[in-house]
Amino acid sequence: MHRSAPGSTLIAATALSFVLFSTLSAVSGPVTAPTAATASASASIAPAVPATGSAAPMPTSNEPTGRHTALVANLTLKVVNPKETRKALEQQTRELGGYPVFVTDQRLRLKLPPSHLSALLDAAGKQGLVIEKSLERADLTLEIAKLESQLTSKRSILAELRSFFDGSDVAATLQIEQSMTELVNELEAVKGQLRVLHDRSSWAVVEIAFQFKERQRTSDVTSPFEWLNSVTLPRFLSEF
Amino acid sequence: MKLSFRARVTTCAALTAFVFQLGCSRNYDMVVSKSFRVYEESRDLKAITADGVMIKAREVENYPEATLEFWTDAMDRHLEEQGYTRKSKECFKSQTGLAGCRLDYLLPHGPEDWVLSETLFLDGDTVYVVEAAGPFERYAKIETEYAASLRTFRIDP
Repeated sequence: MHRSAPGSTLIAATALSFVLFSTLSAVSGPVTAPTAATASASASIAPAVPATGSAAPMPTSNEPTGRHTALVANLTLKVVNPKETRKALEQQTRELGGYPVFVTDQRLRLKLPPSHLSALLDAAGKQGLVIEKSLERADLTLEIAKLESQLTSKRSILAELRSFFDGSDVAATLQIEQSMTELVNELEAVKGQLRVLHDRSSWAVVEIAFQFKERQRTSDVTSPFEWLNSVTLPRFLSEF
Repeated sequence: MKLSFRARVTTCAALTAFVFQLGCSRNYDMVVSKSFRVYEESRDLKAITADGVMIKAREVENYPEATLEFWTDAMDRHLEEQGYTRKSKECFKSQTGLAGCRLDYLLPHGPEDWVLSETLFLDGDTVYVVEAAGPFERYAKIETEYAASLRTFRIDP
């Protein structure tokens, strides 16, 4: 049976303790100054150690202000011919550099560069009667900065772990390898979250409904003028 | 001249029917477009298109006495409070010079969105309410001719 040398086991144990401590610091430690500058800097100082997982390039902040913002516009549009309007809006979206994501007879979800959002909303408004319009804006800068700093730390730890391979015995090597596998999985998860957030900030989403939504049902309100209480669609239909 | 019992009963019945008819007949009229078929037997003006857009007129008392603007405003507020979405508002004069205001609203009805159109005319102590309703797409098809019909609304002296 192979017995590991006491010296190499000690080295491996010390290395793992260091790695564990570093991992905890990276995950739970405060992200100081989560500014766009930090986010960009942390993205640009990614270690030279190649990631063992996906090699997809991570997008960096490309907004002039350095902020990452997700824009979602909701529009309820009443038109005589929803099909024709839908086609026209899809075409308009493509011309503006976007694409349709979800298309049904009564709903349309479009993605396009945020800079063209107002142009598309204006074009949609000209197609019919805008019953409802809202714009949601979510600042993702802090979230992205946190994830990018986690990514940087995890990559550094991975590089440190690699260096411990030299001179370690089989048991220590196995332990290091296990820690590295876990770290790579965490790295991939963080990368995935970053990709989603970057996608949300790179594309504005426009949700167009050609019909009232369920929550917009009418409710009974009593008027002090008696005859006005008879001005309702259900009364009209029942008396017709 | 002495009338037989039968003749007296017939005369009374005829007079009663005449008085009843006189009391119940409407004193307003409107030329509806050819897309609509009119219910001739109805006391109120009532018409419908082949695809189900309906028109019905009625009279209500102008009480408390107010102007057309007042009632238009009150109706608009009341319907919007109920969740009706105003699609359009148009105030106009009929061919006889009678002022009227048409307000069209959108609302969900079953799986479709419907239009409820309310037009008010005012004459002394009576408010004339001309109502139309139908699915949005079908109402849109007859909207122009309906607007033209409303301009033919008249009150018989």
